[in-house]
Amino acid sequence: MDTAFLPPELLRMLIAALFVVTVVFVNALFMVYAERKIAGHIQRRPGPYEVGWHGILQTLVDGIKLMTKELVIPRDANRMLFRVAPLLAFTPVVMPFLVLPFSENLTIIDMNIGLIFILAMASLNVMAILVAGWSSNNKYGLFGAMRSVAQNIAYEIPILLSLLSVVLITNSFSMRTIVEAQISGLWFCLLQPLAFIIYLIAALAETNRAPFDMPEAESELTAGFHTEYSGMGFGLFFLGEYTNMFIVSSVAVAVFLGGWSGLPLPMDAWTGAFWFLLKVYILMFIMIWVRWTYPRVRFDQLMNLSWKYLIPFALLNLIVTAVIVKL
Amino acid sequence: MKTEAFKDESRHRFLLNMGPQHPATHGVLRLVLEMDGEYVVHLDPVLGYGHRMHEKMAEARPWPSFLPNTARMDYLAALPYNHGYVCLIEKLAGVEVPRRAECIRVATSELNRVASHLLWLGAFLLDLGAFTPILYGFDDREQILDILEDITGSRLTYSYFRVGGVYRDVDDRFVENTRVFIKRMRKRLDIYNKLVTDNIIFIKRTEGIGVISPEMARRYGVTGANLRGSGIAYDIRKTEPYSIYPELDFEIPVGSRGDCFDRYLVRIKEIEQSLRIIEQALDMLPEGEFRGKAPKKIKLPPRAASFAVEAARGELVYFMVGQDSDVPYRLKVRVPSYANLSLIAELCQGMLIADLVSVMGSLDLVIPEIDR
Amino acid sequence: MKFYKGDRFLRRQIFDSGLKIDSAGVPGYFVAVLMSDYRPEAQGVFGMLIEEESLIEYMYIMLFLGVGFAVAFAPFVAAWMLAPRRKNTGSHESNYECGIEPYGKAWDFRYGVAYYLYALIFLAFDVDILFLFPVATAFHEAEPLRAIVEFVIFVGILSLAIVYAWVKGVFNWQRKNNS
Repeated sequence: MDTAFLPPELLRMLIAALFVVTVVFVNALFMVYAERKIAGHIQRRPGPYEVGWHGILQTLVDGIKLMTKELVIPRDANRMLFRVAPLLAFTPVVMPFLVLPFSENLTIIDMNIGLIFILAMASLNVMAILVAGWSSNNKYGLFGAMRSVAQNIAYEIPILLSLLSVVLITNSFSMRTIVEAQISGLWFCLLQPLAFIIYLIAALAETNRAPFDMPEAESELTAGFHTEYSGMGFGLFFLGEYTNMFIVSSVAVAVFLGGWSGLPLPMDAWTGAFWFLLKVYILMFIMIWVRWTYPRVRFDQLMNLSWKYLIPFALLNLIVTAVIVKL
Repeated sequence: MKTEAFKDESRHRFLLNMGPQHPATHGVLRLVLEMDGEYVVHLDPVLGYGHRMHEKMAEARPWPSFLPNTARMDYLAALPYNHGYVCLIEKLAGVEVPRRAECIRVATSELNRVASHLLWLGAFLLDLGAFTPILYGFDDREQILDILEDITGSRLTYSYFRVGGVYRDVDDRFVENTRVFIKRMRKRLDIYNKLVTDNIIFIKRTEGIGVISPEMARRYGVTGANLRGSGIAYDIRKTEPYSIYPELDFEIPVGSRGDCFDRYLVRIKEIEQSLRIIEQALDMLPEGEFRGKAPKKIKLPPRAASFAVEAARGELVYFMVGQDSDVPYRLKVRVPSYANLSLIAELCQGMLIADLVSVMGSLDLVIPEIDR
Repeated sequence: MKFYKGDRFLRRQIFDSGLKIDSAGVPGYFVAVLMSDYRPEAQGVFGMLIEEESLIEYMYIMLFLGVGFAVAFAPFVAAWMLAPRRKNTGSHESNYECGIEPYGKAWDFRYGVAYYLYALIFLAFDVDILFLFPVATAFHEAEPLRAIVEFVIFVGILSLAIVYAWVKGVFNWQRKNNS
């Protein structure tokens, strides 16, 4: 490898893109399998078992099945928007990977507005759900879309406020700076426990995971916003959901759990990435665990949890932080 | 197709079909909802998607041929349905039942009731969005089905009771397995209480939701755990005791407020009581015949008779008119779910759609029983 | 093939990071490239054209937008080639409403107002929070007492939006008794 075929900047860009796409797909494959296995064991059954060793190829086969399914577009739907919605759901979820600090070296780019960039891209998801629900011209889809918008805007504020109280300490939105501040000092989950808890709850709601899975509450709205989607249209929403889980967990790890910091291991440059991914998957395991344990909350309870409890406490936390930082 | 209530086109209405193909309607119930945002302004149950004309079938064949049909009305608790039917024939024809058979009937019926309540528990929690309890419930229910399969030969639609006794005698294995199951089930109830009863989301979703006042319950003829949840201790096993129930020591759990949570608690306590009943019935299981000397051919006398039993969902009444032949002139079945469903329109008016789902789950409806 | 100046630079960086790329083969090389610094200080021929740091960030963002779209689109192409297509037979393309022909279209109905009020509070709130972002980055430079007082006043006024909505009963979902 003495030569480069491309200018190194371009080469790095392409490799980064390849890396992110690989992470997205491997994560989705792994998480679907993990979710089904964990759910199975929580429910005293083995989970997928037939395809491959302990069903390890199940998700791959499911993916192929989804791809070979007919894409039905309802007669009354807005055909253009109906097709666009899954693309809109999936395209932005690749973007936050640009600034996620996997390890000290392995950060694709370190923007000075990294955190805001992630939040901006993550909140595009709600638009996809709205477009999907509305364009399918299905009443259950419409319910799901409306719920999704109300829920996402309600829970975006606690997320912003809890992250802001960390930024008040670091005075920077760069993910790398935030992590480095924790390596030199305490992890922010210890300095900001309230913000950490608020963030975790709001992140569950932001990814539409149970017990906050209002937009697709299957016992109320059949399948919610993706009622009319078949085959790959549904598959992309699904893929987007698991990638979103990865992203909110990564943000929690980077901002509150010390990012790549951890005990030194004999793995050279990989140590940081190992610790980072370990923490991310522990958080995702907790999300799965919660999903298979709790019933779903009701919609007004969901909204009021945010507006009556999370936001006031987040505001209080913000003020206290501001005062303490200056003292 | 539009139902009567919605023929008025004067208003611009948001009409929504819930069912027959909907995860929360457990079968083929269809509700036509008029919505205002998340609120249900008006609703109208539409029935008939699973109708099989059981009552008409009874008029067209000799009475023994109808016994399997009874099991197909409420397929979740078929044995009480068997029980009511054979008791009715015994009453009409004046047949004596040996004591051993009575004990077997009560023990198996109560086992079946526990199985039904377990499935209800899972389905109710599934409606509320918790997926795990239904698989725990199925796990326990599987034990019951295995026990019952051993003696009856079928797993769901039993035709086990016969006029004058039961189809086959039970052996020691049945007694032993049932005792093991009772022990296990008592432990499992603790798990359910930890997982469900104390869960804050579950309490918030059910407390104060769908309150059935005693007056309203009486007006609609609600029976079973739904009535007892409203504080009225009405149970056929106590008020019009049949079989060996008068000799047994058990309680009728009642609620106080009549909301979904009370109905849940009543059913959980009923499982405990059923376990007590099974234990006592096994203790007093005498040696002897399992089927009495019933005449080979029974002609149904030309008079009317009815018999009520407590099925898993409430009061089940068989009413039969004979015509001096073995084919009945008329058979009317009063099923509990029909009355229990009928109040849903009044109960759920103005509710959120999520509450409608939890109320419907708490009523424990079995649609094939309504559409019979 | 010719050497780029940046490539030497890259190799030095990789050497500094302690990765042994020769033993790791092509994947190792890929990872090493990924772990190198992306900023224009690591100047290659191409990098010389880029004067500002943010420009290369924009390039990354544009590339990722394209990649995201392509990755989302590719399964559709695959599905288009693999999936069966059939003629429209009656209810095949009708909307799903639990197996019954729907009453009218979903678009024709009015929808409840409860969400609308939530959206209004959100607007009031979210725009205000936007102002807190620049505040947070510059908070350490401000004079302590003044910063605290101003911050508390701003957040206090912000919270009034919730208090107002709370008092007005927006968060109270009453059961509706229709006439």
